[in-house]
Amino acid sequence: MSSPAVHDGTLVADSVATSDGPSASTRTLVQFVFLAALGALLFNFHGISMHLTPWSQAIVNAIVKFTYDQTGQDKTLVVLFREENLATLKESFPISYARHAEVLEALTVYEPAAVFVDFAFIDERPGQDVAPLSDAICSLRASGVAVYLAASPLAGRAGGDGLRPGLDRSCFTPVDVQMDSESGVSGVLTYRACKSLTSCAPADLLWTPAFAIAAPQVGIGRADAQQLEIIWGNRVSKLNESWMDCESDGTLVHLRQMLKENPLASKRKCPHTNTISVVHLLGRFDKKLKDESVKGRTIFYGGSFEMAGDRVISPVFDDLPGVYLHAMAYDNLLTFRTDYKRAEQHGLSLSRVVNGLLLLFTIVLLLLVDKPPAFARRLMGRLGEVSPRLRWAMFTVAVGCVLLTAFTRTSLLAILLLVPLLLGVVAVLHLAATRPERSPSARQFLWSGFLGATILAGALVLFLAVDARYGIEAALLLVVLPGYFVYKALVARDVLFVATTVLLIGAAVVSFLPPINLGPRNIVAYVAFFEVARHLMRQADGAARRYFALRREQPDPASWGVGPGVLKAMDWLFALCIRGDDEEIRHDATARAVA
Amino acid sequence: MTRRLGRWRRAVGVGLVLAAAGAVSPPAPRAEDGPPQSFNIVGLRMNKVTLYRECAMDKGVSISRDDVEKRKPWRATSDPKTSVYYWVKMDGVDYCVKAFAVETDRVVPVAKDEECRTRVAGRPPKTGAVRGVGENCN
Repeated sequence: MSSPAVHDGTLVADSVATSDGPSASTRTLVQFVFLAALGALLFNFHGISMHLTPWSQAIVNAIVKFTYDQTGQDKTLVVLFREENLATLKESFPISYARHAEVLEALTVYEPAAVFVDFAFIDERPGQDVAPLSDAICSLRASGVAVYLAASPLAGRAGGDGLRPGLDRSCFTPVDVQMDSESGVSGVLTYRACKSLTSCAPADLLWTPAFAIAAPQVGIGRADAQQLEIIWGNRVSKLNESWMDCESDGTLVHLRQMLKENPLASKRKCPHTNTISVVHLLGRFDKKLKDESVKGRTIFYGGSFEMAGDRVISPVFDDLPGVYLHAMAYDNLLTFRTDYKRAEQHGLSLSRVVNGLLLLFTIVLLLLVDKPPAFARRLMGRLGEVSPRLRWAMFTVAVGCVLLTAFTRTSLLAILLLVPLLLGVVAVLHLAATRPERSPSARQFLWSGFLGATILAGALVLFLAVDARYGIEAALLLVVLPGYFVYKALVARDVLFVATTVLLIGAAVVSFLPPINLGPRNIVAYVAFFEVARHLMRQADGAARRYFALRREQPDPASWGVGPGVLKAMDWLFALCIRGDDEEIRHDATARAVA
Repeated sequence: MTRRLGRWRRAVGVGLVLAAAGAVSPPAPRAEDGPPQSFNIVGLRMNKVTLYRECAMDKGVSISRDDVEKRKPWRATSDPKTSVYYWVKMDGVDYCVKAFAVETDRVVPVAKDEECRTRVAGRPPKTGAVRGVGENCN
């Protein structure tokens, strides 16, 4: 798998053929450009990140499961008008104004803080009086409840909100309910603040429901409002479990679906947002329900009907009624407040900048690992010469910064963590440039094989156990990921892979924290890119060395079947694939021989 | 062979008789069904509440808190089929009233939540039509 060691004498002989080719710095530069182009191609056009999103997303889901605060969940309730409720209530689709009025009247009794109605009242309905609905909205408003109504996406209708005449505009706030498009299998991951994606500053632009309700509560101004990257919380809701069927598919089904498709093929059955149906609301008055779930909460009243569209695909749950998107976005805003996760920042795609930096870091490491160029070895080798006192001081600063971020609440967490992250980058670069590659002994080889098989078997048993108890995302986070790390560290003895991955994860954490506040990064894609590109570079290096060995054996262009010009060009091309710094090696070898 | 055919005929005959008996027997009671509970309405939770004559949504009559005061104790019964309505008599006619809207003299038990074991998340079948198209075209 690995090519001959850097300090191997055979390389000294091989290097003779490349001594007339491109210099080491030219080779490194060309390799850098090639890797950058490959990265851009895979990440932007072919969509390596898109293919690996389910894995990354599943890991993010697991982290969210154990870290997402319940602030938003406690303050949010979905009231769902389900398909089956139509028959129970002798109702038909679309639901009559009178029935909507009845639901709003019931809500008045339960005293919520705000109500968003996810039904758009656009057309006039013959034979139905809208007055009871308008009265119900106004009486809800009069009892101190803020009411928000879904506006029509059709422009230029009455009042600018596109809603039908007859509704008293002074009693409610119209909101824009346009949904962002899905991101592959992950579903909907972003939520706009208003109709416009660039700026919400103009006062006539309608807010989206979550922003309209949360903005005054958490202090988001129109000028600061940015498109939100939704973190789909997946906490257990005891209210939902009390009446919904939340049973998951089972461990073996999870395992089969994960291996056959991806870890997102099997999703959760019960939503994170507390939910009741209209039958619960319209049934016997329930004081416990009022006190624990409705009073003072924000209500998202929506529907779930067959053949009516309005479904949202999320990375965590099976398809949900669309109202859950607004509820989840609101939950995010209450949980993260002004530090909600942004898809973009102030028109500048900070997200792309961070992605570019992560790619750049990965490429630099790729050029340094296995066979670092001499100038990098020299440069990074000097780092090893710094005084131990300075090294300890740096280490203390790094640990101090990490402890500060763990125990203090500040809006500069990312800045604090940036210090240890940068020190970590330097340490990994030093490790990559100076660590000699060792070939394993025969005993080590056998031991590694045994260890590898043990890790695989142990991981499989643990996966089944953790999946059965905590779900597939927890099994991925707590078993598969550490298992792969342990394999890489103990069996493959690829410390650089582990160090690189830790740094990438660190970078993802830094970009997630305030004041950067970006959504989760697709770290799996970068790690996969690192592994794939590293393998390609080894293959190219090996091919180039075989080529030059053949060239030495058969120097005559006639035996290659091409002219001398073509062969010279081939020499250049293959020389570009050579990794490391053979001239330096040759000099080193010469120096050693002289000594 | 003939004897085997006869046995088959008898089996089919018994099956048909059993199926017919099943078809004419009353449907099994629903999970939430139970004996109607009797109780008194002692107040309204809103200023005005609508009563529906024979539970028809287009036959609504509005009553106020004063109306309830005049009729106290106002006998009501629960609906064995749904927890959404209670039944009351007014001027000898049956009306239903929204359960959430009235205060009762005791907690009216619900035999079983009608929404039990419901799945909210899930992938609905994909269709090439929109609900309601073609209805009431005239």
